Amino acid sequence: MGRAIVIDADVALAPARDVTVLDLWEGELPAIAAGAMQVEPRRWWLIDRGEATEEIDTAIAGRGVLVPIGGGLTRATISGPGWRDLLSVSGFFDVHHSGFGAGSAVSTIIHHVPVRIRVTGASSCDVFFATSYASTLAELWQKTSKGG
Amino acid sequence: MTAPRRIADGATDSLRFTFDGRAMTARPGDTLAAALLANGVSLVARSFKYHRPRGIMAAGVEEPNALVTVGEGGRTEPNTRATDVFVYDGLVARSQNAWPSLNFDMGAMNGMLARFLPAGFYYKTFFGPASRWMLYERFIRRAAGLGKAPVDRDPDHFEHRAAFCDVLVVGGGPAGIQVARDAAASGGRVILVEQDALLGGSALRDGIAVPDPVQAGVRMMLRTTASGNWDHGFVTLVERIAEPGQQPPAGMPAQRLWHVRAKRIVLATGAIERPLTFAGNDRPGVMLASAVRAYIRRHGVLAGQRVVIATNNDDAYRTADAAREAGGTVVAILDSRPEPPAAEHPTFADAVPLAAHGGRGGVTAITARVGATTRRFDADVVAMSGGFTPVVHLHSQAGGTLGWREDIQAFVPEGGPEWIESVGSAVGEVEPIAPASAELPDPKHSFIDFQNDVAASDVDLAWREGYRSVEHLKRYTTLGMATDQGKTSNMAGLARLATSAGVTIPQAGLTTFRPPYTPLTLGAMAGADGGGHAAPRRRIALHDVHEARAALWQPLGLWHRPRAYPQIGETLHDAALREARAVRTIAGLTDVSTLAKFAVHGPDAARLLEMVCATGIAKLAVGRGRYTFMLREDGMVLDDGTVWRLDENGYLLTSSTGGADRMEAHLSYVHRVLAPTLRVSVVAQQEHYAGIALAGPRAAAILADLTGIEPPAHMGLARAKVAGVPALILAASYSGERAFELYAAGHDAAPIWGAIEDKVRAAGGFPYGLEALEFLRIEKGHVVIGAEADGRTTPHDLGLERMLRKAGGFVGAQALARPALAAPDRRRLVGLVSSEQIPEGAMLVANHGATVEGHVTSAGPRLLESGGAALALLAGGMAREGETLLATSPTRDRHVRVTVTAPVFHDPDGARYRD
Amino acid sequence: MMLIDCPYCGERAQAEFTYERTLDSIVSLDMPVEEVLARLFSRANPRGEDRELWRHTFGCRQWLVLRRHRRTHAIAAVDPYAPDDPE
Repeated sequence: MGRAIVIDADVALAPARDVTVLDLWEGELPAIAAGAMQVEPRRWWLIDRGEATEEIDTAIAGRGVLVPIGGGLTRATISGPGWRDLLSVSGFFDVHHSGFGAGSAVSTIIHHVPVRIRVTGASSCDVFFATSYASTLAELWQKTSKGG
Repeated sequence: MTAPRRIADGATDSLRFTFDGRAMTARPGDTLAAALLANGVSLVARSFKYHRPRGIMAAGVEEPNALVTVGEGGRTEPNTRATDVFVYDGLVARSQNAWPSLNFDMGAMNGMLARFLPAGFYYKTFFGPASRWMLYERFIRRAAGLGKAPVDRDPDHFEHRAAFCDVLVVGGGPAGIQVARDAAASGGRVILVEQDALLGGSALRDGIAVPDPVQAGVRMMLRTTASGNWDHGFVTLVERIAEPGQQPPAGMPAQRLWHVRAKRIVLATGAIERPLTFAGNDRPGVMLASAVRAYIRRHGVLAGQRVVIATNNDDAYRTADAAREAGGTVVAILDSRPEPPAAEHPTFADAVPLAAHGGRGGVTAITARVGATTRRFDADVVAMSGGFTPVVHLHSQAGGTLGWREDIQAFVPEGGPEWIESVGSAVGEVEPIAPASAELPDPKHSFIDFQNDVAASDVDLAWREGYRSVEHLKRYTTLGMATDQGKTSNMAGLARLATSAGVTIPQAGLTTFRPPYTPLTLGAMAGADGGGHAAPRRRIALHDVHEARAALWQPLGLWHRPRAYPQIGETLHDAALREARAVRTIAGLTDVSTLAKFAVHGPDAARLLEMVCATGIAKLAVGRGRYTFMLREDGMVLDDGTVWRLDENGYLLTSSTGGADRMEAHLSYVHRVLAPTLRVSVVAQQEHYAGIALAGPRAAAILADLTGIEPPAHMGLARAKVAGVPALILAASYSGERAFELYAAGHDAAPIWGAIEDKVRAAGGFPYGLEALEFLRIEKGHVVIGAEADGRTTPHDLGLERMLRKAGGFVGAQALARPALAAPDRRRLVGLVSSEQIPEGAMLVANHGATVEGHVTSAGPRLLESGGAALALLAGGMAREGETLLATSPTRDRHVRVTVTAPVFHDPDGARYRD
Repeated sequence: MMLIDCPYCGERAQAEFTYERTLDSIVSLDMPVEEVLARLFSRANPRGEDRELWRHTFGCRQWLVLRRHRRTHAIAAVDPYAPDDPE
């Protein structure tokens, strides 16, 4: 953690598109939806699972619903050794915590913007946020990181 | 008199800097204060009120006198302590509060000023006639002050960062380093912060080496000040990456504001030496004894050849030793105690300083009472020590309490949050002192608060005028209210007050310690919000589409929406009028993407909606929608929108842009708190769907042409593809014309806009913005949340009472029964017409000077006729129909005769919704 | 800034949460109007501990009950909101 080191991370922004909320008011998450990102006690996000939507919809019929939200979401793919440092800029969550490893997900705020972070590997993560904020976060990350 | 000098030690000056334009050199590691002393500069600043010559008193952040402006242009930093700036090559420093120059300062004729600016000056002036304040104000503003804030934009960026740790140690002196190393050894994340550029704290002035915390696994942050200690282990740190005025390394912020959350906080913040109170104790050359030592040991600078020490404790004797080692002459040690320790210096027992003598250039001699006699000693520097005050600021900020220690005459940490502890000098591990002496022959020139020019006489005056509480004393005299927050002055002020009151210091009390510990820059506080972005600017999905059409943007909350699309040479008003008329006569399209949208699904979806909405929901047929509104619990209108039944158990609810987040929380509250057993899912789709409204007499034909389907009837819905993109089509109208809202996934909606725009333009219509939308809805009499529904209006007030669900059972239903809400004189919605434009926001009165009976909430032009139309809230509402009133706007100097009408000016029967 | 130990997410910064109201000012839709008005407009404001409804709006979005000291901000407990909570 040198004082004069610019954060070493690359950021790529793209429309998230295929993101669907799975809400259940009864019962358990069906096996076919396993791996979905849990964002609330009774809510999951299906990310890039478009081909399974129909099957999942059938599996939860009468006790839940699928609602698309990806049309308004942007995904930032952040990679590089400095990704955790980058997410601590204007942030509030302990991204450096040893328990926050690959497969973990969290909802928090970065630079006034509600975000959901999904750790995808040792040196990469996806950050999802409303597209209206994309320029705000892109500007922040560009200012802060080497490869932003 | 002999100037300060460098002690020969082989090091060389390699840095160049200027002070008031004079070129000087410095060594790496020098503070600006050290470099100025080494260059023989003793006069550094003029004091705040009286423009008295001031030099350097301290060697740390507590420095009250040597405030300077550092840097140029946008990097200018005023009021920086010369003791808290490390010299870099090219540093530019200037003195402050002096005109025309530091040496010849007009303001200094005002020892005179002392007569005009005694304690409580401001209060007395404010209580006097206003003319007195007017008279003084200009004079005061020019005379009293600090450095000037820069006007140029700061070229650097600033950063906010989060950090988390098990132990945060504040202060890198011997005690802090020890704690940090021990904590790191037992595992966990340990952060050690030190405001200085070097570790060591008090060890630096005593020439003692300290162990390395980094090697022990501690994360060390130098040049980092813990400025605030807040709730639950939350500490704000300011990290200086660049020195004041210095350009930061490429790509780096100038400063970082760290938000640290620590499980345990150890305050090893040390202690600050107190000045002694005697006449002329503010002269250049009168310094803290520990500072004189620090300049010798750390910077190799002897502040003056002939040194007189004035002390009430043993610590200053180390300064005498250091001065002699450096080649200085210890003229005398004046020790107020009857039995001083043995020393190899000329030492005088029962000796207290009475007055320092000298000129602008600094002290030349000091008069002291020694036993029963008065003696005068020559001196180039007076090193004074009134004992040490533990730095308890951070402890107190977080709610810690303090206890009094008689032996050191200071407060020390006592109780407080269990996660905070103090160690070392900060808990009072300092030299004991002799009780303070009260003899003060010249209290007018014996300064207590150096930075705010508060002398002992001011404290005495406050007492005589009846100020008994220390909090009142502080505000009346401004003691401790300068940028140093009284770091060197509070204890002396308290002691003086306690003496007057005949009480002990703890009985006199203590003022509150507030963040920040040292001043911080606005840039650090703003962080990445600088540069015009105090809040995020939300872009709509079709931002680039509108940008390409040269839209004028209008901020709406965080959103920016097209206001109009002016053609070359067109004013905003002309453009909006053209756009709105096109909607009335042909067709237009507009972006409605920011409307809040909620997908409400589940067997109990209708039940939830009927709790939230005050209108009927359950009877809505599949494929149909209707206008709805929601109330607060007090019966006032909260929001409005439309609700659409998509299938048996599925609804889409829309509501206002500005209320989107509030409505999300409200839906969740009603569901999870009031009716948690409901089987229902609510998903916000505000941004998932971009929305495009197509409106006008030709809208249905254009839609049919684009989709190949029969357009849904008014308040019906359909699904179709437009330009190959699937869209949900809601036949809703806000403009008063036949209209459709097309919703499609935000990332894919641009082709839909393009396709509709082509058809609209081919038909002779235009895209329209918020301004035209406003004209259209005012003519149609649609209320807007925030204008007509201003948080004080009920459904009755807005003429919506017929839509209320009689059975109740919705939020706000109970409170609507309050009798006052049915009072006939409530302000209720009416329309106003006039032959001219009606000023928005105008008051409604019968005649000039008459009682205000209402106000204009929205106003616009008639679109196809002449004159203006407005919506207004008027006492008595529609009972006043036909009356003529005056709409008067003194701020715009516009006064228009208006006639009260029904609040709808266009197609009151809705005939235009039918094909 | 307070630290709130969300029963679903663990310890999180106050910035992720929104305060809603005290527990004793929740009004149900079947309360008589007098009680509604009393709860909305004539509330207690004790100097000590109170029970407050918060929402982890920018986290799990769940509703929580905090037992919080109004002066010291000490939080004695954070529990999921349960509608049958005694007030």
